[in-house]
Formats: sequence, structure tokens, C-alpha cells
Amino acid sequence: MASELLPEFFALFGIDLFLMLSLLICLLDDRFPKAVPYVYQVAALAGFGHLLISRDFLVVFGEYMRFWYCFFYLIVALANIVAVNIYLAFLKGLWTLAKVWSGAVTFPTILISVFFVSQYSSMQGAVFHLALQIGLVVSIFVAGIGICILLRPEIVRKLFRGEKEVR
Amino acid sequence: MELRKIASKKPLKLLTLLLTSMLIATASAAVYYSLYMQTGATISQAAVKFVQGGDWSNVAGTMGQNGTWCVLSIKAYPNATLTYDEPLNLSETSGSTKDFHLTYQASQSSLPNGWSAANWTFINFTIMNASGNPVSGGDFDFYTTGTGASTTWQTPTMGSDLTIPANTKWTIKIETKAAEGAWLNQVVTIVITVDVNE
Repeated sequence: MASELLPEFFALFGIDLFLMLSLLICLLDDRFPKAVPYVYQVAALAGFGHLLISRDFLVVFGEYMRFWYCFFYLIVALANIVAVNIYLAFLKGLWTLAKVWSGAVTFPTILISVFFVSQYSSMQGAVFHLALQIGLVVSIFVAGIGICILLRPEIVRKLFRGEKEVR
Repeated sequence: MELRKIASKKPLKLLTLLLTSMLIATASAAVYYSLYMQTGATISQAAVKFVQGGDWSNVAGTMGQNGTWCVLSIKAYPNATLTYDEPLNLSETSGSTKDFHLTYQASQSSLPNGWSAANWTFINFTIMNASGNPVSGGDFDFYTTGTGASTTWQTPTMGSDLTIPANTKWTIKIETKAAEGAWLNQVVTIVITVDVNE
């Protein structure tokens, strides 16, 4: 029998995302408040505590509840990644860095999260409707095109003006 | 202060964060692994279980608690086929399609070969679907071969799993036949288990 994902996998993934955020923000520390990397370390520690509690109350909580609180933790981690992206783009006006962040951090982490959640739902026998699957593929395309446009906005301008790209 | 100046240096800060990150990530992975190992078996109701059929009174059986086992007392007539149309049912209770198969438990059964076996011709178990038709691959037939002291019982093996739809009741039909001139009061014990795949 294939090994199954436990709901706590999402909490573990969320912890790793917080740790990654902490290290990346430390590398870019002149653009962020000094305390931010430490705040993310504390958030990761909170996730660790969350895992410990989950272990001790495994039977009491039940799989449904465990999934939802672990998934919520992952959503919070993802929301922080997106928030950092918005902070860089709009509050700091660091467009180039925001583009790189969205392509190298935001998009891959969201995609990986969607992949694992869909894997988990299929393992649990939940129906992953065709409409949702199509929606996921369309979203990936839209996100990919969006990133391309974000990184190379001149493509759109040239497209609408009917200009050809001259190399 | 000199110490503060050193501590605020970026490489040192990064190293500290890297070390704490590794510590948290390793500890979390260890907890996850222990959770994985801790996830144990939960006893729940049998997904496919035995239920009394319409001819239950004719087989005068004993139904085990939770329907996970039963004992049937079936007869056989010499040189005539006796059919129990609905002595026992198999019921899917979990609400989802299940694969299962029947297995003959030789160690718990008593099917002696030789002169004892020569009294019998066959004991056939046939699984019928909800419409009353035989399920493909649902035959589970015991029969004898040979003559006299060299008579032996042939026991069945279900080749592939049967798939019972959710919340469905299937019937087990039993046919028996004893050999012409069979001795009276000959008894055989056959133990069959229902093995359900998750």
C-alpha cells in the first residue's frame, strides 16, 4: 500500500515556508523591519508546538479537524509570502525584486501547495471534480502568463500596438 | 556597545537564523515522523458483513456478533441437488464500493478425504447480485474427485476480487448433493472467510 500523507504534512510544510521566509528576509534585511525574520522564526516555532499538540490529541481531534487546522496554518504561511510580495511591490516600490519574488517564491510555493492538497484529497477518496481540475490548469496558465507579463511588460505593449519584437 | 555591533552583523544573524531554522525543521520532521508511526488501526464496523437471508431458518445457523462470522447447518440428499436460494446475504455497509473475496480456511475446516469424502458430490456457494443473477467470478465450489478410498475434496480459490457496490446486499446461494448410497449423518465443516480490501 502506498504511504499516505497525514494532515500534519501541511503544518510541516507551513513551518518550512516560515523558516524559508525568515532566511530570505534576513538576506534582504535592509528592506524590511529588523524584527521580521525573528517573527517568522517564532511563527515556525508556533507551528512546531502545533504539531506537538496534534500528536498528543491525535485521536481526540479526528482527521477532519486535524486537516482543517493544519491547512489553515499553511494558508497563513502562504498569505505571508503573498504579503511580502505586496509589501515589496507596492509599499517599497521595489518592482524588480517583487517580480523575482513572485516568480521564485510565491508562484512555486502556491503551486506546490495546491499539488499536495489535491494529492491529499484524492488519497482520502474525496472527489476532485473535473471542473476543479480544469480550473487548476487554467489558473496555472493564467498565473504563468501573469508572471511573464510581470517580468516583461513590454510584450503586452508591443502586442497591443501591433509592433513586432525586434531582437 | 561592541557586542551589539558584532551581533548586528549580517552573516552572524544569518548563521543564527540558519541554525535555529535547521533545529526547528529537524524537530518538526521528527514529530511528523513520530505521528506517522503513531497512526494506528481503528476498529470499525465491518464494511462487508453477513446478514440473515430469507432461508435463514432452514439452515438453522448461528450469526456471529457484528455479522463478521456465521455457522450454517446445511443438509445434502443422496443423488439429488438441494438448493438454498437465500440462506445468507453479504451486505456492504460502509457506503462505498468495496472489493472482497472469499477464502477457504483449510486449517479450521474439516473435509476429510477418503471414504468420508466418497459420500459427497459437491457443496457449491454462488454469489448472486441484487437482481438475482450470478456475479461473474462469484462461484465458490467444493466437489469431490476419485472413488472409494481415493476420493479427495477439491477446494476453491477465488481468482480475483469481486466488487460490491455501496449499500448493496448480495445473496449467497448454496447447492449441495450427496453421492448415491451415501451414509447418513455424515458431517463436514467448511469455514469460509470474507476478506475485504480497503
